[in-house]
Parts: sequence; structure tokens; C-alpha cells
Amino acid sequence: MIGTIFRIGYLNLKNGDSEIVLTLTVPLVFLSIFALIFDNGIGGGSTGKVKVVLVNEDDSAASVDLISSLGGDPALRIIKGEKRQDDPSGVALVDLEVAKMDVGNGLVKAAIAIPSGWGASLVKKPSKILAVKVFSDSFDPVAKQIVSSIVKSQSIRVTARQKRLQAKASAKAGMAAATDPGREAIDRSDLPERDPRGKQPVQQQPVQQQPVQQQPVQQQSVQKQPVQQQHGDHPLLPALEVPGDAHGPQDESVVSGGGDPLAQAPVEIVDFVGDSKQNPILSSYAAGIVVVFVLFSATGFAGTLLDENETQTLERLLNGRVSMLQLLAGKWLFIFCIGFLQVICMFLWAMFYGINFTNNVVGFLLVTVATVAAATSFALVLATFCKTRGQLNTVSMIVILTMSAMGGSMVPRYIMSETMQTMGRITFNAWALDGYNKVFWYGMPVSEMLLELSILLAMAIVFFCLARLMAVRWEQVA
Amino acid sequence: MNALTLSNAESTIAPSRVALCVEDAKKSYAQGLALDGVTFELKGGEHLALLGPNGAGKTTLIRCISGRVKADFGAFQLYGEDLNQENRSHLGIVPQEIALYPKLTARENLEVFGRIYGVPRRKIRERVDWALQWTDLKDRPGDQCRTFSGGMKRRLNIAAGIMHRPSVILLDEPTVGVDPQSRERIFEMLEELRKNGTSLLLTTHQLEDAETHCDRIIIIDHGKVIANGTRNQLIENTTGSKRQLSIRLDRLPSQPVEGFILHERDKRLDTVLEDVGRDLPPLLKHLSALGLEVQDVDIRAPSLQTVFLKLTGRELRE
Repeated sequence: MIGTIFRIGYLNLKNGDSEIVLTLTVPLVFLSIFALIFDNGIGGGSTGKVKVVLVNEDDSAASVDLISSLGGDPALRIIKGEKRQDDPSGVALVDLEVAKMDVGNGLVKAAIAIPSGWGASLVKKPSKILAVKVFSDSFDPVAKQIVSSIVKSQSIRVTARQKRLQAKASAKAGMAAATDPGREAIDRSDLPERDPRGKQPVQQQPVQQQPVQQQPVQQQSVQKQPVQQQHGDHPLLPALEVPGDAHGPQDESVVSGGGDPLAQAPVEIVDFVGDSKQNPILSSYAAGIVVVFVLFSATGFAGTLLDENETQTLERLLNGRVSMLQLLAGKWLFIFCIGFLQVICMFLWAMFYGINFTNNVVGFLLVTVATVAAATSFALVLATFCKTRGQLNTVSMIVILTMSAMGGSMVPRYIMSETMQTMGRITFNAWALDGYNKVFWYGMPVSEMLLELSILLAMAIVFFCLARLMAVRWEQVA
Repeated sequence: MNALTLSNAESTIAPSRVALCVEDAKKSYAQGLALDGVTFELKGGEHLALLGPNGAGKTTLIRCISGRVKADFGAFQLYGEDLNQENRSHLGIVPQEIALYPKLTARENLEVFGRIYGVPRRKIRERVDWALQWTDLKDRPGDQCRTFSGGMKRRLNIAAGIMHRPSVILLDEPTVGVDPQSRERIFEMLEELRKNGTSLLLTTHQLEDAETHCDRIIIIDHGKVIANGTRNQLIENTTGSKRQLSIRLDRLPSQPVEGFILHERDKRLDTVLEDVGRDLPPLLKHLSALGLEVQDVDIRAPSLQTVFLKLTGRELRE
């Protein structure tokens, strides 16, 4: 009997419309999508470039050298700000205030600011070396770590070069002193202290307590990062441990140049955006969950079209005074209202977990309307495309999960390769998530969400028209 | 009379007036010809049965009339006017499937389909009450449709299709899958509509229903009307005046009786008479002369099934 029951299951699968093909291909599709995401993403070692802006408040040769090095780093994409100025290195720079705004608005993941006097401080003892500041957006913790590691790495190389130049200058001075004793009176107070054994300089934690700066967008916090801990588990760690690779053999003198190279390249990370959020991880992922849920829910309701077609109720409706356009519009309105209600309920419930939309109610409502509208229209497209409820279930699972994966609902888009991030833009998940992030994370005004809102609403209209076109098959049986 | 005024079945319609006229309807699909010049008329207040084997073209014809399928050729008229989007609203269409919302109550289903068919909001309540009464569901207006028996669903299904009180109703197998009691109730309901002059075009495989409850019968096969008339006319035209005669005797005859088939077990003789009035009296005399006593005489006209099978053949249609 068990065998007979098994056989019934097999025969149903075998005789179903494309069911056996879908059953076997769905796992392959998912595997391919995630492979595509991760192969060129975090898994492939070619993470998408991190968007940053550079600020150089120091006019020294060392800062120009660092800017040049950062500009040439393959992991960074230097964004040109509105008030850009050309650095002697040829790399685009922005003012500090502009940089902070860019981070605060989510245009870039971080701003790297070289403070005034940084170059001059390199020749002083480590405790007096000024820290390069990284203003980061903690929405993307990976980017923050990558940027800080790169800045450290490049700072070490620049410091090493400066030390070497200084050593050469000292050597020349020493030779000159040998011939001119009057030059012995060099002020050595700024030189690194040496330990009692006279071999290594005394190591000091380079990141010192900095006064918290008042920021225009979000309350910021200074993050004192123990350098060793910070780079210890990061994929860029090898670059720090072998600092001479990128800039030729002369950089090998960094280690032998005296002192801990990490201590000589302090970096101060300022969590510029998001630190004040009660639950930053959940708020950034809640939107993703909501979008996926609304998609599945809307598709379920849109499937009533197929149920009605199967029972001839659809034909009965069309025999009445209902046109197909009215029928779809009525369905759309109902599914939209249900979806909207679901989103409101979900975010009201999410308030218990620290996600608060009441600070930006208008923005939240507009993004929700646009998102649910697009999801509803897309669900109608799926329903009008499929012939049976079973087919809809399978197709919607594939399409929705694929869109969710590509659009960032399942995997944050910032860890994807740039290609995948760009491809993700064809899904409305990506636009919806961007909209919600602007509401919850960046607290932006509605005017800053117009792009997302416009695209989502345009998608809603296009999808609805597409559903209307595909529903023609129900209007005339032949 | 304007067709619009006939939309309400409460209007009095002259029975002789042609309600629906189909002329030379043709429709072909990729698989072949579905309708091949179908022509017939449905008079006001008439109940017309549309019979035919599976695949004969009945459903295509109904869909052409309802506008769900566009005929390749032919004319469709409702009370003398070409059928169009406007006057099609005066048709009532009852599909074979239970095309109701199972989670809606009887009242809710009637309300939504009333609205769909254009019943004014102010009249909905009155119409729903009438439909509940008409379908004998007045005691269960608040029950979900999915909890109903097959017969109740069928009755509700019919009511949902005529909430707007159409003058012509197309019913596709309205009694399929219901018990005899429900079937009788359904035909009582339909008979009530006749009083208001409503015309019915009924497709069915239940030949008995067609014989008993319809004024006229059309048999359609291979997309053509192959018979059209009352039951008696169909029989007359198909088998003529022949009748099946069965005579039960008090004992078995001592010798074979010429022209009869003898059934020994029940001492019965069977034959076919060309003309009962002319042939029966001499036959009875002949049996008496043979010393046989007639205990029972049964004269049967050929049934509609006989006519149907004679016209459409005995081959299975799949």
C-alpha cells in the first residue's frame, strides 16, 4: 500500500504540467542565483567597490601621498562631491561638511578625512601622530571595516615613506654634523621614544579620546578601535601584515623603520549614521522581510483569478457588466488594501523591537503605498501569466525569491558585486528597500525619496498594464 | 416592443414572439468545425431543450450567444435586434459549474452577482429575498455556500444567474449531479419563470428532463441542427407512426405466431405495428382464433432516447 501511495505521488508529478521539470530546475535556479551573487561578491574576493569621499585638510606631501594611494586603491570608488577641489594628486576631494552630508544622505559609505597637521605629525612619536578619520555609515558594517583597514594600510606605507625620507634627511644632517658639530643641537623631543633596551619605540594606543563633533544629520559617536582587534578578522588583514607589497621593495623598511607600524597609523572611526538607532540591524532588514511578505501575500490573493477561472465564476463575472479592466482594478484595489494593512501591522508590531516609523510618518506611508502598489501589480502579472493555481505557486516562488535575492531582501546588496548590485535594480525590491532605508535609517525627507517613489509607482503602472494585456485570453475564449 | 423593456421578466411577453433567433451560426477552431450553420428560434416563454452528444457544439453555441465566443459567421438576434454588448445584459447565463464563491453566504453571493448583473442598489435586498424564497433557501441565507448540498448549490447557482430578471435564460446542464427531488424542485423553479414569459434554452444530457419539462427539442450534432420540434414531432419524423406492441397471454401458444417474437418466460409476444388503429384489431382476433386469451396489451411509442440514438448513432463521442 505504501508503494501504491508513493506511485500515486509519482504519477501526479509525472503527469503534471511541467511539474517535474520545475521540481528539478527550481533548486538549480536558486543555486545559480546565489552563486551569481556570491561568486563575484564576498565569496570571490572581488567585493564591490566601496563608495567614499576624500577630505584633505592637510597640505603636506604626506597627505597628498595618502590621498593618491587611496585614490588608486582598487577596493575604493572615490566619489566626486559637489564642491570638489582638485588635490595635487589628481584625486577628487570634497570639503569636510560636504563629506559628512554625503555619508549622512547615504550617497557614500564613508568619508575619509585627513586632519590638518597630519603630515607633520608623522615624524613625531606615535602617541602624537594625528589619526585619519573615517566617517562611516554603520548600515554597512562591512564597508566600514574595509575602509578603515585600507586607510590603515595606506597610512602605514605613507608613514614609512615619510620615516625613510626623514631618516635620509637625518643621515645627511648627521654627516653634516660630523663636519659641523654646531648642528648637534637638534630638538629630538618629537622623535619616537625608545624603550630601555633602545631597540623599539614604546607602543602606545594611537587612538585617543576625541571630542564628539556635532553633526548636522545624525548624532555621531567616536569608535575607539583597538587596531589589532579591528584588522584581526578582516579579509584585508594580509595586506596590513605585508605592507610593502603594493608600493615596491622600499616599503619593506616600514617594519624595520622602528616601532609598530599599526601604532604609527592611527585611524579614528566615527559612526556617523545609525549609531543612535535602537536596533540598527533589525531596522535595515525589516524592510526586506516586509517586501518579501507582501509579494507572497499579494500573489496568493491574485491567485483567486485562477480559482475563479477554474470554477467558471470568472466567466460569470465577465458575462455581467464587469469589464476585464474593472475586474483587475477591483482585484488590485483589494489586494493593495490588504497589503497596506499588513505592512502597517508589521511595522506597528516592529515598534516593540525598537523600529520607529513615527519620526517620518509621511515618508513611511508614501514608500509603503508605492511598494505595496508595485507588489500588487506584479502579483497580478504573475496570476495572469499562469494557467493554474499550482503553476502560480511554483512560478511565484521562483520569481519572488529570485527578486528578493537580487534586490537585497535576503542578502544585503552591499555585499554583492557591483554587477549584481546593478542587476538588482531591475527588481522593485531594491527600490523599495532603498526607500525604506531612507525612512528608517537616514531619516530623509520625502523630497529625497522621489526617485524611489517614482520608480515604484511607474513599476506599479507598467505591471498593471502588463497584467491587463495578459488577461485578454480570459475575455474571449476563442 | 423595445428589447430594453423586456429585460424585466415581470413584463408580459407575447408567447408567440421570437425571443432569440440564431441564424446560420458558424464557428471553427483549430481542431475543426464546431458550429456548421446552426439555425433555430426560441419563442417568448418557451422552454427549449438543446440536446447533443459530447462535442456536438452545444457549449460553443451557448458561448456564441452569450458573447464569450465570437462566431465566424451568422446572425444572433434578441427580440429582433442584433445581440450586442448592450442588450446581452438581458440574457441570463447559468454555467454548468457551481460558479459561486464558496466562502460567501447565500445572501452575499446573491448580492454580489446581483450587483455584477446591474441590479440597482435599492432593489438588491428585494431581489435577494425573492431569490432566497424562490430557491427554498430562505432558512439559510447566512450560511456559507460551501456548507450546502449539491442541490442547494445548484439552485443558488441558477438564482445567481437571473438576479437581474432576464427575459432569456441560457442554462447549461442545470440538473447535473443532483438527486431527483432537487431536480424536480429546479424544474418547478423554472416553471415559475415561465409564468412571467421568460424563455429558456436548456442544454442537457438528461433526455427525460427534455421530454418532460421542455416545449420543444433541438438535437444538434457535428455543429448542425439535425432535429427540431416537439417530442412527438421528433418521434414522428424519426420513427414514423410505428409503435412497440407487447401482448401477455394466459399460456404459451402451441405453435409459433407469425410476425411475433415469443418470450417464453413471461408468455409474452412482441411486435411492431405500423399503424396501431389499423393493425391491432385484426391481430387480437387472430390470437383469439388460435385459442389464446390476451391478459395484457402494452403499446409504447419510441422514447426520445430511441430518437436520439437513431439520429446521432451509438458511437461513443469523446
